Amino acid sequence: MSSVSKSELEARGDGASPVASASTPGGRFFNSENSLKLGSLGLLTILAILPVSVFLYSAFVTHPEAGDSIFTFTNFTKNFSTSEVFDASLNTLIIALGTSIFSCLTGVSLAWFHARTDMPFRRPLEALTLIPFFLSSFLGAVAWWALAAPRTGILNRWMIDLFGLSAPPFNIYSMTGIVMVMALFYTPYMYLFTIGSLNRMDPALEESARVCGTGVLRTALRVTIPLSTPAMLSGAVIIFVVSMGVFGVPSLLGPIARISTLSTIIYTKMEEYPLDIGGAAALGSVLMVFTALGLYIQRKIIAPRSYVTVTGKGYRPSRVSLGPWKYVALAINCFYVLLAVILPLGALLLASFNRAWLGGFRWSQLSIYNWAYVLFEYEYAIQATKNSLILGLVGGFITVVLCTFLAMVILRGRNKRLSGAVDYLSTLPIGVPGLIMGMAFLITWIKTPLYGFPMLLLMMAYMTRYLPYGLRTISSVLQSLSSELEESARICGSSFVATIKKITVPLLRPGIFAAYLMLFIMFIRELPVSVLLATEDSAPMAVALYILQENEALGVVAAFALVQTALLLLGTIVFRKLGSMEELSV
Amino acid sequence: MKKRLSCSVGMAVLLAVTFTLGGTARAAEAPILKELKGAEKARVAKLIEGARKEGNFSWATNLAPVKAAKEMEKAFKKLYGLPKVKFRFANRRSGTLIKRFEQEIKANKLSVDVVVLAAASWLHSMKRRGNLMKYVSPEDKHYSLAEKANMNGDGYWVSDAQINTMAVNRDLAGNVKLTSWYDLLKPEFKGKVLVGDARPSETYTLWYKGLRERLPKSYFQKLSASGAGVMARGSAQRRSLMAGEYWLGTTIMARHNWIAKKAGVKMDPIYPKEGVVALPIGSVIMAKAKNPNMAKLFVDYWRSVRGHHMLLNYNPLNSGRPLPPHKDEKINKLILAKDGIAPPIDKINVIPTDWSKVTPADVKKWKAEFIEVFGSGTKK
Repeated sequence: MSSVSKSELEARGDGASPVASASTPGGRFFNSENSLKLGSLGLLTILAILPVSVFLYSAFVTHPEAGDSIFTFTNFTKNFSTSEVFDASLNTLIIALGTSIFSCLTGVSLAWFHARTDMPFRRPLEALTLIPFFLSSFLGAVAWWALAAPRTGILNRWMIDLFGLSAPPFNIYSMTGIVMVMALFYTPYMYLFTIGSLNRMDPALEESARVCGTGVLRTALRVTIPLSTPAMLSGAVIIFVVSMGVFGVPSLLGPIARISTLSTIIYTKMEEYPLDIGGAAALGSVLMVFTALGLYIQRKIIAPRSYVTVTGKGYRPSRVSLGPWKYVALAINCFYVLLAVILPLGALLLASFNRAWLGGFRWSQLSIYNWAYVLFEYEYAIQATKNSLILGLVGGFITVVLCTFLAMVILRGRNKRLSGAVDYLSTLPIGVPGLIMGMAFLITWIKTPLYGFPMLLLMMAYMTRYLPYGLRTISSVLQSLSSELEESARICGSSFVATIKKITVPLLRPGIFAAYLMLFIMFIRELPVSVLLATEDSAPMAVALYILQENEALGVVAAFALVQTALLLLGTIVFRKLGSMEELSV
Repeated sequence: MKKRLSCSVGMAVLLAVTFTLGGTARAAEAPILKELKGAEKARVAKLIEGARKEGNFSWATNLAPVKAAKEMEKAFKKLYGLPKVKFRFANRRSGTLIKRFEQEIKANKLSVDVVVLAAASWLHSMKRRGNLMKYVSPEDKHYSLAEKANMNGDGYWVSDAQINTMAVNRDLAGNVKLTSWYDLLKPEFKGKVLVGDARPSETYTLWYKGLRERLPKSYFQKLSASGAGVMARGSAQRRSLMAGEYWLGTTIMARHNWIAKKAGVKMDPIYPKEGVVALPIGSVIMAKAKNPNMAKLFVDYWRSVRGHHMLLNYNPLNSGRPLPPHKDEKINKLILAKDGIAPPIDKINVIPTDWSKVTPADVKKWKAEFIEVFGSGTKK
């Protein structure tokens, strides 16, 4: 191998014509590497920076009924001085902390069981563990309402009948109920964030610990889990911030217990006339501060250490033997599947076969009307499914490509300041609640010709909202790959594009497919932005479901939710086949 | 050259005459014209001609579901002889529609011609800002009751009513007699009454404000003390009442009772003697509507008996005009004064409210009182 200097490597760029591209300073700069990175940054500016700036600007202006907007700080002073907001903030923090802690514990444990241990029935349980991801947490809340509403919940009635209890044992209208539902339905996020890095981990690291006499649990806690820190922190930050902004669950389960959250107050400000966009943005900016803070902490923790688990050396995949504890792991996994899959989906299935839901399945109400309506009569069903598939497949693909380049800018970039800035900017959209993001998107693009293309607008909005998810997933896998592999290829004369194609992408493939699948599912489920931006012709499945919810009984909603779940499950199977993802859970 | 020019002019004139005659002939074919006479016939024929040239129409509402909208579209096209007009429709919550239209108005990119919404303060604000078209439909004269209840908008709109009132699940409560709001305080209904949460909703705040005209604050304090549940969304309240979690609702719209009945649950509305709050549902044409002819024809249809009967069949609401009987007995049952799901407001005791004078400050004040009475932000 000939020795090549660093400057020569930098100048080389696209290997197709290294001499030509390096011949002038401009040519040296505008090589394929820089062009692709600049393109990604340009797209990031359009997708994330513009709407986020509009959102932040909105927090500093008021809009009187007549006349121009006025610059002001009152949106902050007025809103943050009320006891209502103080109570709501406290509730929001409790919910977000509870959700993050429980979903992180469960998600990481399940990912570890599946990726690193010899727990039995891993394959079927992998698929089942992901199913809650196909349902929105709001639908999960509806299902759990059917299960654990104090007077009519199936579980409560069953427990009272069986044990002769004087009062219902479960109350879904409580802080515990809200946290439980959210944790159950956010666990797959954590699972998806960590499974990639756990799957790619060199087992030699664990084996060394075991050889030195360390126990299984200790090895997991001291070796395996710490090596997945980037992925876990990414997941934890995202779940914390996202659960702060979730509206559906607290709006359904909160009022009876008089629990209000920041998101329910934001909703009020955005839904009532006169609209208080400034107030909503001011409150929403709290979430953005938390996002930035979380990201800062994450970078501080990760920065001094190396999390490389995949190097140029080959390794043989092997699993940790749990001994009899594998049955405990199995029991934990089955319990999660029971709470997050069997019970809620079972409740929805029962409801879908009852013409009216009278608080439990009634043979007298047995009917296929709900299914017939959803499959053959509902006007939006087919068009909405088509729209969702287009948005999920095309939008997801573009986002994944963008995320891959951004991850490389962040983790492989030589300019650390630029990397840090890109990391922050691409993650900030997660701190904008969906309701406000839809509005920010509308304000940003309404004056452009783009407004005439609602599908494109929706796709861009989805990309903005979910870019951080894709980026975090790919980044966490890229972080575990040693850059020596790419550097070796470049030293051997491979161009930037060829190195990406032959080295980076194949190694990143599990992460890329996991991100693509995650984005596909999230794009199909997205509601708050879609409901504002979608027109009749561009309405996706989530909007079709929203319309059903407003106008039809629970059984119809349940049937449509199950159709959507089945479609997403089918999509996951196809993704796995196409991506040859046998070794990965997603 | 001259010959060719005159030939072209001749052809153009011929085409114009053909199209004009053809247009008139097609307009004359519209079934609605057979029912009309004189000036009104000429007016409608002219609108039909204009609508045909426009070829498009866009409307939005928080009231009619897709099925109702599609059926209305079909019936409208047939009645007015406009089969080729392309309809666009949006069914969203009022807040969502308002957000979108406000931004469209600011950007001068309005995408909607007609809006049908139960959003009194927005409609009045739109009128003040000159964003609505004044249009007096021949149907408006029938809306005198809505006029008396201060629900109409000075030639910009006439109103049907969104009535959030008491509803009872008869399967659970049986045939108990309910005639007054005070009946909800009976011991047998302790913990079984559901109230719409005014905290995130102007609708429920206005319901509270309206009822406070007739009921003292102490009434609501007693209701709260008797364990009344508070729930935000209409659809969630409907689910809860249907499942039997609560027996009695207090802020239930006609369509929720109708959805419950359709699914086989006996959920009846009650119109208590002290009165009910009727929120105006205005059908308005936007000042900058791109298809004004179509908009006027559609508003005529929406406000007509035909339009109301059509809507009743798919999504009942309380009409702001008296409704004559319909040949379909099912529809007639919906509009009966007693036990009907959606009787017109002439058959109901409506608490009058001057909607033009309800300010955001009022909403804030009454919301604060609701929170004081029913509580908020408690951590449990």
